Amino acid sequence: MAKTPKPNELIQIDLTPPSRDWEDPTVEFRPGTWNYAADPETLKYLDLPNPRKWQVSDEDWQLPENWQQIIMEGFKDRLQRFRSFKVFMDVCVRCGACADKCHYYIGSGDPKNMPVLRAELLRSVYRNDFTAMGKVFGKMAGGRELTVDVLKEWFYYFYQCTECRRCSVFCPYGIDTAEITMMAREMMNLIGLSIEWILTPASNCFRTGNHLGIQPHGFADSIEFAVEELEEVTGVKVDAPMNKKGAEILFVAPSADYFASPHYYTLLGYLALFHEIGLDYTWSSYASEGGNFGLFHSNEMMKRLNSKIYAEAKRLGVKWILGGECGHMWRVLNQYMDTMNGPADFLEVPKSPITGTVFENARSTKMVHVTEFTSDLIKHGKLKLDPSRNDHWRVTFHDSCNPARAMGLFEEPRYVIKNVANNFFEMPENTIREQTFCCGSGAGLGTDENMEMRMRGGLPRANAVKYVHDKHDVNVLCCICAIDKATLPPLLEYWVPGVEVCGIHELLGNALVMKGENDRSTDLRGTPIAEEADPTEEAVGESGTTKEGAKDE
Amino acid sequence: MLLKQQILQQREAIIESWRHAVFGTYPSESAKFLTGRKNRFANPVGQTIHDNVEELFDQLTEGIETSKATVALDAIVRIRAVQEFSAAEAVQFIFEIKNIVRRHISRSENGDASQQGIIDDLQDFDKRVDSLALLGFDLFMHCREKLYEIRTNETRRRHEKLMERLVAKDKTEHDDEASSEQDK
Ligand code: SF4
Ligand code: SF4
Repeated sequence: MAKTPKPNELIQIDLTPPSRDWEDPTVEFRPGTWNYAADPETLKYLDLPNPRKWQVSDEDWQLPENWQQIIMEGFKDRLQRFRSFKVFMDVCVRCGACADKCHYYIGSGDPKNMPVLRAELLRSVYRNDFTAMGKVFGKMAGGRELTVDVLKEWFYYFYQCTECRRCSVFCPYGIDTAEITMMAREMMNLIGLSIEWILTPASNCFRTGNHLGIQPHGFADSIEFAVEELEEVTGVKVDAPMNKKGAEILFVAPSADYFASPHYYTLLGYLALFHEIGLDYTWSSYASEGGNFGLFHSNEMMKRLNSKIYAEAKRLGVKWILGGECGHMWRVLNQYMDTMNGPADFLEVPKSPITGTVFENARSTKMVHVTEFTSDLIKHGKLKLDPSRNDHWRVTFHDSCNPARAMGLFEEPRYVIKNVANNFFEMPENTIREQTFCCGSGAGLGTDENMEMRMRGGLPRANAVKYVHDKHDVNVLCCICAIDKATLPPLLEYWVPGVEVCGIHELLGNALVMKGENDRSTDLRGTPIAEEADPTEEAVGESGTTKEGAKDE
Repeated sequence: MLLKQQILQQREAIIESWRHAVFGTYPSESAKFLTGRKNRFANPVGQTIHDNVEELFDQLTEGIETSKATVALDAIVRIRAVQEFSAAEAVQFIFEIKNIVRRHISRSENGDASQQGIIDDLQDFDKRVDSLALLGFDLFMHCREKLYEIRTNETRRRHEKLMERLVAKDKTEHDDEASSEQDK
């Protein structure tokens, strides 16, 4: 056993890490900082190449003999197919604007988490093998050979990028490191290096339509169960149509909404809302998942999993599609679905049957975000709301990376929150909206074996939450992403105990005054609602004035 | 007392050296970023170290008030407990203040670490540092235990509603069976 040094001996130890050349690729796979390898059976089920048993902590990853050749061919193929990838490989001027913008870098201090260096891991190999300079001058021109150590380094750092795109906001050339990460992961998939937490949900989704592999009747049961629970809380029995042909709207939500907590209370909120406005809609027991873990694997997998949404819309004969509170689901729907599986010309341009508003922004995808839909209802005075039913919550809002940076959805969520809750406080401005900090666990990294790394990555987010918690007694972090709802609770448990996580439609469901409801003595969680609001509170109300968030301090 | 006077004369410089020692435990490429403090939300690690090292210094010189020392030390150790440090590496910076203080005294004009009064004071000071370090170890362990607890809680939440449903379903089926048994 190693001898524990005495305090005075400890003083003598120089703990400054030796200054290492960044080109040195060796990484230490410390427990708590990486994700388990995917099960070979899952790879086989999905017809993916090179399935085998291996583990990240093994010295020997059992790579196929010609692994370098496979990767190089994959690299070449992607450079030809994706122009953006080629541009991103060539155009970086190393200005450093992105360097300190990544939450993993900010939280870890590990230089290779600077987006510019993360990309450099790939770029150096690109330079070595695909540029004239690199071919001749190799290392001197910044090139690196693809060795097993370099490959392991790729694995380590490209599964430390949540594809959040914060860095790209600051890059003068718009280089999107998230897309570089996607390419790196695709290339690693070619030699069978994938992670369990991405592939198992993807294969479940392929088989039954949702990440947990719940069968259609299980899904229908879940919704039925929620209907019963909602009745217990509100006294109102709502209708939740399932696979109803000819309904006007198909509603798709992330599956976590019906099996995980606190997501579930958001589901109760949707059910209450759709009932109250008499929406002619349907759930689908096959498109029972909006989330798409294929996005974190490869564009082919993403396309495969996404195709069920239009297919179900067609089968059920709906006019348009409404989507629930999810993050990466919206990245896929908003940015890729139309070109990947569209055009959905069998659908109509979405039009709210309640207000008559035409959602021009969804003219081509035919899919509307539920906060767009709900804020339009509120704007037209179609909902009776009692925000004091949320007076036990002091709310702040986390802009989830994908709705924020991939969709520009900033105002609608805030508009809904301000109308359903009296106490809303913004986090500091360089931590919200397009500059929002990631939860640190997206893009398939939200596993429990990776908890230590997640705590590092989520630190900047949690730090801003702590600020409003200390200053304004904020006790709930509201968000519109299923991954956030799963990963922010542990993050806050570690960094800011005392702050819970909720969805916008949970708050809406609390505030929604329903016809025929009971005295509503509890909120959707079953927590008693305070008798009387504190009269000293300044209200935020309909006018939508927000209390002062923090300026940079 | 003698020591305290000398330390306080060089308060800023000692605190700065102590901060430097903490930042020095991070890779050199990042030390510049961490020490820069343009914005506390853009650099939470740097800001936390900056502020709390100062608080810990005041605790050591003015006498340790456990609640305050815990808050300040926890802020730093909580971060280091999830970074690339072992327990010893995470709290070693606390002992570093002993060296820093000695260095600063011996460098100061009328400072003499071999004066009897100073030697006694230094012994007291060192004891305070040691107790702070012990607290640091406790906090580190507490953070690591918390990580395990969080992992368990997360797994539970992940399927919480599904589990509730299965249990409820199981119960109804069981009840149904029981009542049909009775009917027979
Ligand atoms: S996309 Fe996000 S996680 Fe990836 S390098 Fe950029 S800031 Fe970091
Ligand atoms: S900001 Fe853009 S150009 Fe500058 S270093 Fe980062 S990726 Fe390269």
